[in-house]
Amino acid sequence: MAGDYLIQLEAAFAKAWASVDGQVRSVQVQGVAFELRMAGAALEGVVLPALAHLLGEPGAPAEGEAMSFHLWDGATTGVRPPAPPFAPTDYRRYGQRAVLYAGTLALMHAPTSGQLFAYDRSTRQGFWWVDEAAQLSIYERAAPLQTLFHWALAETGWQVIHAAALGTDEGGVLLIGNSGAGKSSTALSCLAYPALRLLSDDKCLVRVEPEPRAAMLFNSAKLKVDMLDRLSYLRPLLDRWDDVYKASKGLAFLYPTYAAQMVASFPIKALLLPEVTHRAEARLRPAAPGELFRQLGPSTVIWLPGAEAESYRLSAELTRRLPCYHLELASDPGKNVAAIAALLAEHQDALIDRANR
Amino acid sequence: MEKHMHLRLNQPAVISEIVDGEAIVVNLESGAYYSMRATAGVIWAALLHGKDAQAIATLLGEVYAVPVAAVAHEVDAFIDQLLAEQLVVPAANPPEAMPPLSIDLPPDETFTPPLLEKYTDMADLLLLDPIHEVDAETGWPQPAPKRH
Repeated sequence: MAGDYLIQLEAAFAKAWASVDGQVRSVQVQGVAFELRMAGAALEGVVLPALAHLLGEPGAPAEGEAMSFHLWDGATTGVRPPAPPFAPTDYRRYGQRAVLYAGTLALMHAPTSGQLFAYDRSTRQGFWWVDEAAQLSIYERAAPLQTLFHWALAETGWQVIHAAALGTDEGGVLLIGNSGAGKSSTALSCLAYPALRLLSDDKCLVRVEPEPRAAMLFNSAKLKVDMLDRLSYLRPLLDRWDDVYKASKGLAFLYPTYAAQMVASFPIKALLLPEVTHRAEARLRPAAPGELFRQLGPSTVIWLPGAEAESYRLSAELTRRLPCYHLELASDPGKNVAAIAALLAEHQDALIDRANR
Repeated sequence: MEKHMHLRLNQPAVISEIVDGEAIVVNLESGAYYSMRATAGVIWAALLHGKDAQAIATLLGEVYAVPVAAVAHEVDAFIDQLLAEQLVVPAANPPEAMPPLSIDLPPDETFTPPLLEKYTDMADLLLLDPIHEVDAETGWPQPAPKRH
């Protein structure tokens, strides 16, 4: 059944590809090459801005053996995917998204937003269909194809997790917490301070072996109204504003404007749980690993279907291995960045001491 | 006590990890997640090791140095909650060989009734999401209104 569905899906994409001028772009994610085959000009503006920092030149082939993602939209091509093999009861999960794993195939159908994702591990081919690209929310534009990347990169040990991240090439921290905890605004503050650089404001790649490490996947930032007051330098980058989806939020793409203030990858030195406290000085105090995991694990697996048990285990392993802290946030964002930089310097000093002993 | 025979994790809808003695369990269908600490974490770990209610009550009696009869009804009531939340389901057979169950408690830990802490902030977010509304009649999800 899974094989039949993939054959039908390939045929649907071939029909879409033949119906319009397609475009092929390549991206490199942590040494893995991806070829994005996009049928329909509408997809370019949805997929490419958040991945701009990873893009090869137009027309340049992907380096080495590439995984390929086949992407098309219904509005431009007039082509729909084959009906997915789900019953209405299958849509009770994940906010009315139905998910199937059968052999090497992973499949997710989100009919309410008009999207279908499929990935075949045996051929390393992914498929994404969206009915109307123009209708996609800022959440999907901020993290395009995250489900396909999550599925495809699993074989390399990298997984997408729900965390902001900042640091330097030598090391950094993950900020963990739900909306309103101060995670994004603290991470984005570092764009204005040279001590640390930004890796992610909401979703990033993480692996545990051979050492806990984070990597940037998307260069996007989601901004609430109150954040714009504090991060006014991001106003010129606002791409769109969404008042319909959950809370009002704006979307900005930070590359290339802030390329120098961003870091592609770093070893993770600590996990922080920010708390808005309006203190005069930021304060770090130890946290129980369970407190961090309660925020990190569930939010990651609920929003990112695919190999949930493995993804959950990876999040748990991170909290077991790394030092965990509460970060009581100061009103002055510069002091929060300075407190994190000081923590990282302490860890670096401790490492040097250990090496010299 | 007889009513609770062997139970197993309600996979694949439910996933579980234990970090620092705290079990954190997600029900992927409801979007709710749960925390079980102290006594609750011990019961959860023992359940996943295939111990039935009787064996768990005996274990708690040994671990906390309390009479088994005094904790048995607490164990039963807690397992009732786990079943009601569909975190575990009855298992036809006890699990196959597993590594020994290791219970590592702080030295001053005393028995307290097990507590199942439920969090619905994720589920609430899903329910608030206007592009994911379910049609009341068909049960099939319907697209959000067009945005302009």
